[in-house]
Amino acid sequence: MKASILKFVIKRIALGLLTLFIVSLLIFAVTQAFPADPAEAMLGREATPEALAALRADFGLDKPIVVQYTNWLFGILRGDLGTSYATSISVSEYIGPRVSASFFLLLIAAVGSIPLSIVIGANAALRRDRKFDTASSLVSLILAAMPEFVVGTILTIIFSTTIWQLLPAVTYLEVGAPPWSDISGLILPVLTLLIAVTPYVSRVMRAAMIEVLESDYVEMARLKGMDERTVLWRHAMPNAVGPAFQVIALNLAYLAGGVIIVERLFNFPGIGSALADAVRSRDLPVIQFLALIIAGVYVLTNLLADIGTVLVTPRLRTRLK
Amino acid sequence: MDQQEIETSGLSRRHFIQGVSSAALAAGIFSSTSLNALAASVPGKKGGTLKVGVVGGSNDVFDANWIVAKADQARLMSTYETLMTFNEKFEAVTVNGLAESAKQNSPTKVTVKLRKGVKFHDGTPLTADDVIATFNRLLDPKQKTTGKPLRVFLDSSGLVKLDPLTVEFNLKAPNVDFLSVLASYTYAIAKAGYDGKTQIGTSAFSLVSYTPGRESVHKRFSGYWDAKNVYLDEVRIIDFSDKTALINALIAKQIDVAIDIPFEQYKTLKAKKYLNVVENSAGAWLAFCMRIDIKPFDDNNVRQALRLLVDRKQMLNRVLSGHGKIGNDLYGYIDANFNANGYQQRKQDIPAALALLKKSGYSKANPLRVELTAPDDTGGLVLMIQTLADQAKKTGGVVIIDAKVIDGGTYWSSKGQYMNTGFYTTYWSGRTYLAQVAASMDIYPETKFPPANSSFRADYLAAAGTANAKKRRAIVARMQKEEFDKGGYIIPFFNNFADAYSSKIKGVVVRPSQLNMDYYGHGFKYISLA
Repeated sequence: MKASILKFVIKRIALGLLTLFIVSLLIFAVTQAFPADPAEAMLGREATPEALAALRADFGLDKPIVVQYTNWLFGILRGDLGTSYATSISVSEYIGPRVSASFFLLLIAAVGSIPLSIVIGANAALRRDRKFDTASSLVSLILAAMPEFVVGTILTIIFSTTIWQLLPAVTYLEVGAPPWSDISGLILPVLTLLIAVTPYVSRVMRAAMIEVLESDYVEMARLKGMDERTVLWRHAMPNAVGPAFQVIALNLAYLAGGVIIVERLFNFPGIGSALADAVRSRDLPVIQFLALIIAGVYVLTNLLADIGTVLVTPRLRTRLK
Repeated sequence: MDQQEIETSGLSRRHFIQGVSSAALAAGIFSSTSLNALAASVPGKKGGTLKVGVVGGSNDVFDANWIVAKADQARLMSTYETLMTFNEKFEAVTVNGLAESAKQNSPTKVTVKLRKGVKFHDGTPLTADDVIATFNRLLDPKQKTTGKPLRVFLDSSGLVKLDPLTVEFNLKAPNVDFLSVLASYTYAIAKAGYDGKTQIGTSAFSLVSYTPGRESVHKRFSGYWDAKNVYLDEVRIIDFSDKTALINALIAKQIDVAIDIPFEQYKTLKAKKYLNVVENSAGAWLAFCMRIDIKPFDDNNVRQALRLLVDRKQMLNRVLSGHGKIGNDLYGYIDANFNANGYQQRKQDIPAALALLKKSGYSKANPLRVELTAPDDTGGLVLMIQTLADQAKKTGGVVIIDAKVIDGGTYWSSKGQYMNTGFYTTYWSGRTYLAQVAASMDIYPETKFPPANSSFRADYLAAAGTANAKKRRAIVARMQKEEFDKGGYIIPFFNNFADAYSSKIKGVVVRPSQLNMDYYGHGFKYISLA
């Protein structure tokens, strides 16, 4: 059975890599369709034909498109991400610290939201139609209806600017310092992300748990006289968590892109502002790399969710041959 | 969020070419209160780190001779110095400049003598060679600099070293106001051999580190020529991708200065005891451009009708919460010869506009339908086109303006809407009348004015070479008449800009100036922390 899971994982990884390759092709094609090329976008109204030609030669834009793409692709395969047009520094040096900062933010949001939403969802299901369920449903519906920037703005008004001045309004990381060096500056962005993700996942968890609790095998377990805790943790939970994994994966993948708004709000030095700037200046090497990173998070989280679902769901596990 | 932001200066993500080039300014333009406030407060103690927040990103530029945004200005001013600077009347002076003396010998000859003992941050002395190298870089069309306007007057061969500290500028076209050109802040002096990458200037603070899109750190330079006026140990210029975050950081006391606050926040910030707010007006303007060679704007009736369509006051209120001065389709606000003919303020006059349009055959059945564009990176321009489209509805369907917001990267590119379409928007920093004519006529021919049969160009050359103020004014009046009657710009207002900073900061000079915080304290040298 282990071998069959390994085969499944390898197949999924291969599919993921293929997805990334197609994404890179698409992004490259889209950037070619931009009305202005990077040299024109950067020079703007200061452009002289001489300066345009010099920049294009610098960036290698005078080469045929196919050559430009294959140069970039082989560079990536060799671990050379190229040089950012706008900042003239290597993409890895420029984007590296931002990727790790964003990942860190994402990681804390994930680590915080997964157990939180499972506990809330499961409890709401167990106390179905009682006070906790009604209250948590209402709150999560309200929170789910609010976009991140509204949540973030309200939190800022409450905790840093207008009502109390308890927490920093923006994250200020010294250059070269790790993201956890400004813990107090991380509280509001993490809280905003938690509020963005938790309601969805806890809703799904609640629904899945209710379904499972009404199923024949839970009924059977109860009739066998098992104590309620065993029924809940051994029989109900694994089957309910499966569907929740999928939602968690989708939410985390969404966060990889949605974190942009939160980063902007808290001036967090992550990939969000870098991507927005790169699109504006047509900084192709940066756009390409960040698009791959975000697509990579999608692929990876979905892969992990699928593996997780298979592992916790007995009927799926046994179906793998 | 961009669209709600008001671009206080109109100069957000793009080139506002080197600034005011000016001979004189009617002192009455600025309110007496701001001039009274000129006296700087008593300096505080030595030492400390100043945190300056400014909207910026990874596309920022760090260069002695090129900028695209406010963050770039702040960094340029922190690192480099110009030969001349402007006083509050926008006259070129040597205070805070690298020139000890400068003289315009004739309309085509200027001599500049450098201060003795000025050192670059690497310890090497400033010489005439560095000045000549800087201007050669500005004159080189292959370099990314703001030197384009300079090339009208100067060739490389005109730069002559008289001795190690003296440079002569021999102009190829007369310009009696060349000292002001030398005060343009992007004509800052870098070391000979400067490639735009290693930032070594002569300012009070030398660069320690620069991380694009995040921050630059500058520490006090012990070899500075004017060290007695330097108080801080360190300056940090921090990028904010969003104005809301910038203001929040200031309110939460995480930064000491917020450059360019949105005017909707003006009252809120002013009400806070621990903050000061300072507003400045220096003749910067936002405008609609009509290309006089593209249909239907080649018809002067159409151009004049559109000028009569604008409710300028409403537009100023909507775009800048009223923080500006209403415009009359004439530029050069800081010039002594601004509105030399004393024209009355143009007001919205729908019947007159409709009468002009009728002459050209436009009616409800045959409406004037035009597309008007603005870039999404300059909030003020977006609000302007939306407001004009609204105001056009008062014609009852005779004028239909289709307002379109275009991605900034496309809009400003050399193939974009900017300068290539009939009806679009632009912005400029304040400059004197003739300097603006040079820029708008040849360097950025936004409206393609003047038409071929006009004497405007000959008048311009005559005025630039005329030292006699009275004669010059007469020529300028003739030029302004032609622009007022037939020009391609609609200039609804001149925009102010404002900064907010912690009240523990001392030494901020409040006076009319072209850049925020009075030229960023000329590299933050007068500023101290209490």
